[in-house]
Amino acid sequence: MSEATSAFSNQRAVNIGFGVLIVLLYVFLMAPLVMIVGASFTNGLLIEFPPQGLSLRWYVEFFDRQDLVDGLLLSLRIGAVTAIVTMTVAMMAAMAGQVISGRLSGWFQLGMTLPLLVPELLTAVGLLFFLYKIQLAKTVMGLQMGHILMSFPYAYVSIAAAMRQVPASLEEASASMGATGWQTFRLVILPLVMPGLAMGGIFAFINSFDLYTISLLLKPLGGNTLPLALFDFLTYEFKPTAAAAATLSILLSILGVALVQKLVGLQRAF
Amino acid sequence: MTLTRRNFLKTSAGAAALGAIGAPSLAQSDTFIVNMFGGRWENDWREHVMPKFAEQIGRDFDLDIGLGMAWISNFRAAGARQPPFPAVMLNEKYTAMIRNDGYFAELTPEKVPNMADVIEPAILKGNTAVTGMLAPLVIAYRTDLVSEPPKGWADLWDERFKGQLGLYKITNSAATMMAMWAGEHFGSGRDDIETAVAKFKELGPFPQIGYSAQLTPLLTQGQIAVAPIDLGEVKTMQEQGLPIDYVVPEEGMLVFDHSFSVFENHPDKQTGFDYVNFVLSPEIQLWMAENWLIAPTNKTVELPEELQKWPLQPEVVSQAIRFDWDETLAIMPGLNDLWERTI
Repeated sequence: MSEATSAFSNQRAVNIGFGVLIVLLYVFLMAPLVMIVGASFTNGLLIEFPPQGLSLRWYVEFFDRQDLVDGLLLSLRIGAVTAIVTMTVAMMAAMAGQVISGRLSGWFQLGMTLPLLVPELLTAVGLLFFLYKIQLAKTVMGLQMGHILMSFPYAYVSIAAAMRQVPASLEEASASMGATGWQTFRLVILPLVMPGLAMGGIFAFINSFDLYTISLLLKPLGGNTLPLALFDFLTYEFKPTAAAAATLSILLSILGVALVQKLVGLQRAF
Repeated sequence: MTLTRRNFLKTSAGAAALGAIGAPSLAQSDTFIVNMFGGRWENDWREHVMPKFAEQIGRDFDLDIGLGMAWISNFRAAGARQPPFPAVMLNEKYTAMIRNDGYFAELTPEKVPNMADVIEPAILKGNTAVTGMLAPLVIAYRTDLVSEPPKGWADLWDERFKGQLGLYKITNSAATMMAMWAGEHFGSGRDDIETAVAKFKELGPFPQIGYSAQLTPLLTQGQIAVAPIDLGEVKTMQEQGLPIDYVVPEEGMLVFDHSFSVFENHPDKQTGFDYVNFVLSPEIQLWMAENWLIAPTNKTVELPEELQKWPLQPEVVSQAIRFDWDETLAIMPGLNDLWERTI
């Protein structure tokens, strides 16, 4: 066997190995989703995979359960406001980060991601005491503040990365042609960072939608987010209604990604 | 409509404004709020119980849904001077954590008239709480998988149940109670945690479950054949046609006790007393017995014929094994640590 043939065989083996690895990775990532989606269509009384028969009864039960529907609506509302506020604030922070140079820049970046570095539970306890001090504990506003705080770094990282791709020369060119700062932002910078901005918003929304620990301590009187409502549900009723709720959450995430695709295109966002 | 960038931004800004405007609404309302567990507890309480109380006080109501530790964290953060709602229901384990810190008002028959009719063990230390719900903990077993059922807690150590048991995690008060019982039964006393944990290690391996409803699927699927469990779960499984029966342990059954307290410094304290009185009323106590198999603590409740077969009678419940939760709380950190490291 010639050297060329041997090298070709080796390369083929490596390719097959990588292919198998990628398939295994996808199986690892997708298996829980497939199982929970499958279990949501069971006709049986328990969360199980493969499902016993096929039925939409647990989706019907989900929408019949006021506690779960209320949880879904509160999560959607909190997530939407979180996405909008974090996009706005993170955009401003990313622009500020652009003009900070030297060692200070590193500290600034670190500061913007601090909520990720501190354990969520400790942040939640600290916020809880703070919110009681300012009379906002157990309110939707208090919960909203917690979600914005915890989701901000995700939006910031995405938007700051997009901002770094914008050449400073474009701003200078825009200014030299007589554009005001606002016109430069609106007509030059914003269109260029839009994919990162949209992704940041989507990350913030999804993160907010999934937050459990901080919601557990900060949730408003009489209100529950969907993850909390689901945990309460599973604590006392281990039924496939929870799988139906999880499937709906997955669908929402897919819709979010589809929205990014529609607005800016996924290729530009990553 | 075409989804343009401008439309998207306009819509987003509008949604944010609406969200912000609606944000403080819950905090400012005159709604009467108390806490409750989630799932079927919440649904039933909202649908069948609270509307009657709302009618009585002429106000809207809402429920704060959650679990003990999150509520305790909130009460501690709020401090005794500004509790988040007027009355509270807690497992006694949690009541004991804060009952000496000035949070609770003293409950007396003058303030809560139905207290005059409750069984004596229902009135907790310092009159800071009264048990309104007693959920019996019995031993359930699969009749098709167990030929000779256990008679009591000690039988769980019989070889014939090896590999067939399901138990609670030590974070659940049921496991705490069982460990203390084991310390007393097999060792030198309830605080003999070394003996207790060593005895539970003998039972292994066994699935450890956080809550009763998570034991139910294991029994249903036959993954386990014997488990301590809420009486209400037994009834639910039997109604589904499963081959399940139970025994009241001969040493005495354990109980999950959910006690009700009123916050001393809440401005709506009087409605809190009215609420506790309402929960202790014969009507609500009977409703809980019929729907949840909760043992009434009000002695005047007459259980209907169909409930007589269940161990809910005041004389039966009064003989349940009870624990001093102040002493238990002192033991718990060591017990939990040893359990987690050993089992």
